Amino acid sequence: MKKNRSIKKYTVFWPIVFLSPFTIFFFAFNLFPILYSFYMSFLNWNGYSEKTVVGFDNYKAIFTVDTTFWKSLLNTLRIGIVGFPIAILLGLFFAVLLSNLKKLKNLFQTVNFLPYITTPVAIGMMFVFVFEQHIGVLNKVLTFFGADAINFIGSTTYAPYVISFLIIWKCTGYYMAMYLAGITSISEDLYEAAKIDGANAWHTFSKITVPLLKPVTVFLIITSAIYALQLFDEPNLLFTNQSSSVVGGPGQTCLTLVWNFYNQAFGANPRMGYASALSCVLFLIIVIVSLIGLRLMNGKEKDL
Amino acid sequence: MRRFFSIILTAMLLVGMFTGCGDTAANSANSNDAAANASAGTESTEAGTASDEAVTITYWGWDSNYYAPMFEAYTAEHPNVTFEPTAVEWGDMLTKVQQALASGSELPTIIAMDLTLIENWKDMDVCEDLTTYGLDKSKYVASLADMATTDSGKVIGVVENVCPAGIAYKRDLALQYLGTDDPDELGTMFNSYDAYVSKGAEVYDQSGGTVYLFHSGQAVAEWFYFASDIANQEGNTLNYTSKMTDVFSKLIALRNANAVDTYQNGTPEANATFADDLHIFYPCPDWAISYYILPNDPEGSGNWGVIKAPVSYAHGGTALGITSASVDTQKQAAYDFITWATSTEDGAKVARDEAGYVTAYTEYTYDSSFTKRSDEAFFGGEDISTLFYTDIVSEMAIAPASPWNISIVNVRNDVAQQIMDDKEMTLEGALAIGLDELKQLVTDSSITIE
Repeated sequence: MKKNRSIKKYTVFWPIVFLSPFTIFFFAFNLFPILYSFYMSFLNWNGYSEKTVVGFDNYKAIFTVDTTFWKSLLNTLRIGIVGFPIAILLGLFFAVLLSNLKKLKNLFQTVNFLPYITTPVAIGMMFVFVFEQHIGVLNKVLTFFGADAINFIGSTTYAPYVISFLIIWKCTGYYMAMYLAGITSISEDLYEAAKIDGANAWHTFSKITVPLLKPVTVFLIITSAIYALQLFDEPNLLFTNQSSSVVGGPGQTCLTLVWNFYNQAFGANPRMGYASALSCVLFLIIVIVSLIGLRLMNGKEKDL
Repeated sequence: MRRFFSIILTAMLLVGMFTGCGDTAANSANSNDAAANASAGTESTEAGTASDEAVTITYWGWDSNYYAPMFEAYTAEHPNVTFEPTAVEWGDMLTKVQQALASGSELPTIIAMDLTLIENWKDMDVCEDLTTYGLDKSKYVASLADMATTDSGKVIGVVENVCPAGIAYKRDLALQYLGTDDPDELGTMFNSYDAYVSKGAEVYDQSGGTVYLFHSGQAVAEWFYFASDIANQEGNTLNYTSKMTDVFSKLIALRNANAVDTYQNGTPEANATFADDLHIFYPCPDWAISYYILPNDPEGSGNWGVIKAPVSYAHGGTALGITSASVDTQKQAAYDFITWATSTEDGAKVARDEAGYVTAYTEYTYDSSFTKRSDEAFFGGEDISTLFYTDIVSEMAIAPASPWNISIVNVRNDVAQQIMDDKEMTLEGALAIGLDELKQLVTDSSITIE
């Protein structure tokens, strides 16, 4: 009897005690907000007025009336499609380069990783100092060579690509670190065997390194897609200033899905209910993208 | 021993976990008290002026140039009052309060409300009716006091100061490129918008394409926007086309004359132009002297002047309100502070001398002996006090606010920047872009945009 109680204490009581902090926090700060947000998506509510249930009206409006949603989705895709593939390719390139380095490997690794841990506010300011028309370093270089200065940040043509460049600059180091970890797990025997068979550097890279890094690549593509769909800090900080802030940047060309959601929820004329519906749609999009990615990963596992 | 440590560790985890909850519960209890007290607000009013009881007033605002010296001077006279200001960026203020309301967290006792967004503040209904504390709004400049009054007559705030605006200029550049730095002569020279266009072209050519009249299209558009007497909204109609035709057509004329540079207004690089020798004029409400000119050109004493704009106008303005979410003693103390700051000679003098703000309390606003500013030496001894508070205040018109002001301002900023970026952009093109954006931003289907 005493033994049973003692076993129960270790199999029931203590697990509950130690799991309860996480469980309580998960329910309070993850599950409850998600469910409450889903509930709010059926309301016409601005955050402080009377709540009115409007059924699926908010969802209908997103897909039939609201052109801003589609515009923000296209902007997000455009910024992401330009930025992330280049960042992933550069990450792979630098990882391969660094993996062959004998000296200063750690130094270059750290330097490349620094942008990833720099705070978004600092990144916003730095990029203004690079791309601004009058004082920007890039324009100083352009004018030095006789070209006209370009208003990169204030132009509808260039502004989205500045965000893409920012992503490349920020994420390349992180991707490089992930690829480096992947490369170190590839057995040296494979490279030696290839060398004996007369494979050159390109063959080794394309036939051994790249295929064996596929799980890392798939992981990076999925997480990049999720990151892209949640882009907010970078464009928001680049186009927000003391007195002439513009929601979505010049011509709203940098209005991302989350920025649009934020503006709907917390702008001067807030629509919490509608914004909640937007967040639910965004949640669905991210779930679909993640499932596709997981399927790709599972497919890979089966292949192996 | 192991068991002892396990128990201690678990207890620490649980205590840590519930500490946050405990605070929230306490705050919630406080809010309930506050709500209960708020509902009994009139009793507090009957209680009369503040006692010597220690009281802490929390404050959210962006303008430390104003609130810091005001708090210091007030606490010197009222040592029982302690202020706890929280600096909130101008653009974040409304959002911060909305988030506090939606999440049920605490609001401050005093809140600073930008007049541009005053209709949104009215909609939020977080402020006390100051007439229940005994405020006589007829003693304040009527057009400003009316802005902070709801349709039902509730006065949600007291306007800190009148905000007459002129055009500030750099004397050395004016002398070099316009032949004079005398404010009267320059005022005569620039007595129409067309004069800015023709002189702008001359200055640009004369300087070899390096000197502009203005630094930013957005700043110029902001000037035209505030100077226009067309209301943003009448009934359920937004007068977008008529208002923005007025604004964008003038900006395009100035752009075509190369009178305006392409800086984005309010950015650090744009603010740095206050001290350069490439831009002559800056649209300048009186508060911009302490907010923009002095901090950005501290070495510029004696090199600045101010002239009247072709149309006298007001720009900006802030109202101080008391939120319902405090206890009666705090609200009464907050009301005493606000009335001290705006309607007593002591408070109004601190505002004038420390922040360069002239109260909207008419007894002082229209008293030319009172409105004498202490910073005229910075303007080469020019009598800017008479210019701002006699000449401009008596003429300036203030267009009524709309709940959609922020969307309209957003469109104005964006299109102004695009006008400056695309030299080929016509008025029709600019209006069409703005209209498209505004339709996306104005989400109330009962509003018609014309």
